[in-house]
Amino acid sequence: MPTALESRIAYIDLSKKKVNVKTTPREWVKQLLGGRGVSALILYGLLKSEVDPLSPENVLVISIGLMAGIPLPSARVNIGAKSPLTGAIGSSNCGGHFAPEMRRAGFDHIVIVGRAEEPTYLWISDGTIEFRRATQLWGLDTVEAQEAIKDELGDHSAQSLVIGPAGENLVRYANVRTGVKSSAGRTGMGAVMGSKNLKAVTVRGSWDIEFAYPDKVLDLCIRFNENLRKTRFFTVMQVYGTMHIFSYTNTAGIVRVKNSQSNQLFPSDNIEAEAVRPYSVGHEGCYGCPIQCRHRYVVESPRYGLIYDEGPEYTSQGCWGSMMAINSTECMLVCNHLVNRLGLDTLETGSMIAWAIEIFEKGLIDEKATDGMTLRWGSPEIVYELIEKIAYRKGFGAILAEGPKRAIEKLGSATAYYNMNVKGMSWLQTEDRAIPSFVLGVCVSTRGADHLRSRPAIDLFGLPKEFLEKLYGAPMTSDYTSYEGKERMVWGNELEYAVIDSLGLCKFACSHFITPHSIYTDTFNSYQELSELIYYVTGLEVTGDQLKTCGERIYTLERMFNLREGFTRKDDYPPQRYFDEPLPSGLPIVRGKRMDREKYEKLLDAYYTLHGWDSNGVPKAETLRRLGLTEEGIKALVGEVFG
Amino acid sequence: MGEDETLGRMVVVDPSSCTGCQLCVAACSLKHESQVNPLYSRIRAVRFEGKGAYIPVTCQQCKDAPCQSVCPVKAIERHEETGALIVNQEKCIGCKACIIVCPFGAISWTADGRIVKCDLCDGDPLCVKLCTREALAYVPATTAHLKTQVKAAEKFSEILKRISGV
Amino acid sequence: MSRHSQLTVRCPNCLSKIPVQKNSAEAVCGKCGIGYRICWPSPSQPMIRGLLAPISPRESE
Ligand code: SF4
Ligand code: SF4
Ligand code: SF4
Ligand SMILES: [Zn+2]
Repeated sequence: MPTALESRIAYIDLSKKKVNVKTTPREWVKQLLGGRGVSALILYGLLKSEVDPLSPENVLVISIGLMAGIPLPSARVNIGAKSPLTGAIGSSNCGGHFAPEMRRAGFDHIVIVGRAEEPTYLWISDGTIEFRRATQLWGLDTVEAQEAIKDELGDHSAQSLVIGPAGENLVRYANVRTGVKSSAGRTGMGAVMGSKNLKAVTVRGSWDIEFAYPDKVLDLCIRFNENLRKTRFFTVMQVYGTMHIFSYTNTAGIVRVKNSQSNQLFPSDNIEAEAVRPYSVGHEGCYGCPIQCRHRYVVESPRYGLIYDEGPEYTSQGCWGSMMAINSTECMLVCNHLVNRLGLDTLETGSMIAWAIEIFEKGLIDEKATDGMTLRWGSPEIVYELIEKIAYRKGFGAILAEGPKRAIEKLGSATAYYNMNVKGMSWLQTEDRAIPSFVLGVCVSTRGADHLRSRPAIDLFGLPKEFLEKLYGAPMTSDYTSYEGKERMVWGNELEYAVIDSLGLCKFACSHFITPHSIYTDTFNSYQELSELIYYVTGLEVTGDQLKTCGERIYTLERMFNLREGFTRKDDYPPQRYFDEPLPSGLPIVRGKRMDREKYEKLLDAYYTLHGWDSNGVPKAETLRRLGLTEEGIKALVGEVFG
Repeated sequence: MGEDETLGRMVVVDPSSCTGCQLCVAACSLKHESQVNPLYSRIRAVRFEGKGAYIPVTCQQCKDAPCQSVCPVKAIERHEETGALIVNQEKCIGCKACIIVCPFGAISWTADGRIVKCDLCDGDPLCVKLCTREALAYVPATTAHLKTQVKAAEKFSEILKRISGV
Repeated sequence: MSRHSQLTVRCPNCLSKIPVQKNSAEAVCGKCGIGYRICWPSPSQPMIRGLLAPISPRESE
């Protein structure tokens, strides 16, 4: 029976149609927990640097968090591979109801190599793994495919990770999805599945999920539920979901508008969270979560008819609203639906389209490149058209489908300045150049421009210095436009987020455990609570300090993957625009701000030092020894399973 | 407490508020079976995600309970205080007739061979406590219809508003 | 403290607390004079929804 400690790994070769099952080594759990951490180890251990991400040699790792299945927001499943978008480590997680079902089906980690001869899906149930034909599913959108699989299996509780047409067509930022809305969006994991002819991985299990101290686990879950409900954050998340953030960020002037030309959209009343409420027919969310943060909505569109979907999230709100300068609820809801169904990462898609419109506007490309389309701001129809073209790689869409690096190569180096990316992955929908901590976090993120590796949202709250010092263990200013001490903020959050991701917990809901938690309860050591939880679930004694070291180990391992692929310090900078152009709009506190290169260099140095990396961002020998990440150390860890 | 408030209380479900989060399901199984397995949870929240429908299903503590009537050894007994129908494990012979006759599928058979069903957690149902969307309520049976009534009235008033244009 | 004084939002520009009238859709920061639109996730919890009017560069300088 599956417990977090006695879990199993399935190694599946699609070319040879072979399956090999191993038990997860205890050492992996102790050092890397699960999910994102274990995924990093497998990728580092099994991949060689020259591998083409879309070739059969790429390794796809589906890995659930160590806490999967408990009555808490514990359902994050991590999907990893070498990224076809960036060439760096690919790693993306999503919630939904897949992870607990996968544990009940008998596996915590699924490693997939090779390429199936014909479209295939994997049917994993109660410890067995079956290769099934998926030609009948090829071409279906992400929700149709899941429903068709349930019908075929005659089991409506089966949970699937699927790709849509975008993944099949190898769009370099195609995502992997489960349910109506949960998406492992970043780094193009859907394209990797597509390249393997793998339409879906379906799990279903009837096995018990057991714990070392079940009563204690239950007590903790009840306490968590009760405490969370007392917070203001809970109410806001229940009613608006992540969309509530936009109300703050657009008001302040820290969202991308017209690609990255401005930082505040006015008016914005139709894309604010409140505007979605009339379309909402209820809520939805992930397994075990008391919040249930997303809307189920219905919208009527002249072009697409009656639409049912879930969301949108803050990211989609920004991409299809402010970034395109479109103040329309309908457009936002329709675009969210399109990217969901087609299996596209909403952020990369939005960012690529916004870039295309700006370079068209600037005359760097013309109708010859865009199949005769005149690109301009504020037109939902143009956006719909481009989303579809990208997913099916039609005409101009085929260029945008290649992602920042390759699209710039095709459209000319003059367009590069306007493409907001780091390591070949697009900046999020926020405009961060007034906030050094945010910029640093996005730029050093191991998977390319990304906030979910560290975002210190707490920096915006203007908390007292003493409070921050207690929380981060060093002096720090409460001014978010300052550089002072921000390396420690980013570093601290990186480690916590790596731990949370590897445990499979939700960063939003479990803010009770992570940093902002302290605001509500005056607890300054969230690792302590997590180690308590781990003990009750697994019986393993992992101290708070050891957990923090797990975070360091995971982050450094991901860094090592990227170094091996040729990424160095030069890849840890924001786009040139961040240094050149002051913010044209927004509240007085952000207006006119831009990044200062000298100060940023110093921040980067200080950040590397905290990690124990040298000035090129390369881990020092003593750091590798301390973390057990020397070549022999890694070999021994990987060898336990793949020796 | 009067009869209305304890005896004759029930867990009422409101499918229009349920999000299918499975908190009730996982917690019930964890509390009663010390592990998480929806098969042994006394409550289920069936998910029809593609259609956007989530339906909690649990024991209604029926008045003329088929499970109780069909039991050949009278192993299902009514709890004096809560009014819950409880399986007396000493008497139960495991014939599973109750599973077959329960119109809600509210009775299950565990892997170690026990008949289990909702016991209303001795009057403090955990599922109700954890449900943050108020899709579950523990109320006297005599008032169980009220919430639905109000919701229906709300819908009706919406329609009226639309017709009269105000 | 009266219950009214609990209804506040924080000015994103100067971080000072802005009192909000129950059910009101607007509030103005007493310190920096910026006006905000307000929404209500719950009847006892006001939240800033957006700006009342765009802030022109001159005003802010
Ligand atoms: S806890 Fe409530 S919302 Fe969640 S599944 Fe159960 S009844 Fe539905
Ligand atoms: S188990 Fe079924 S038949 Fe028995 S009381 Fe409950 S709902 Fe009625
Ligand atoms: S009332 Fe008690 S036994 Fe029944 S489902 Fe709820 S928690 Fe479980
Ligand atoms: Zn102010």
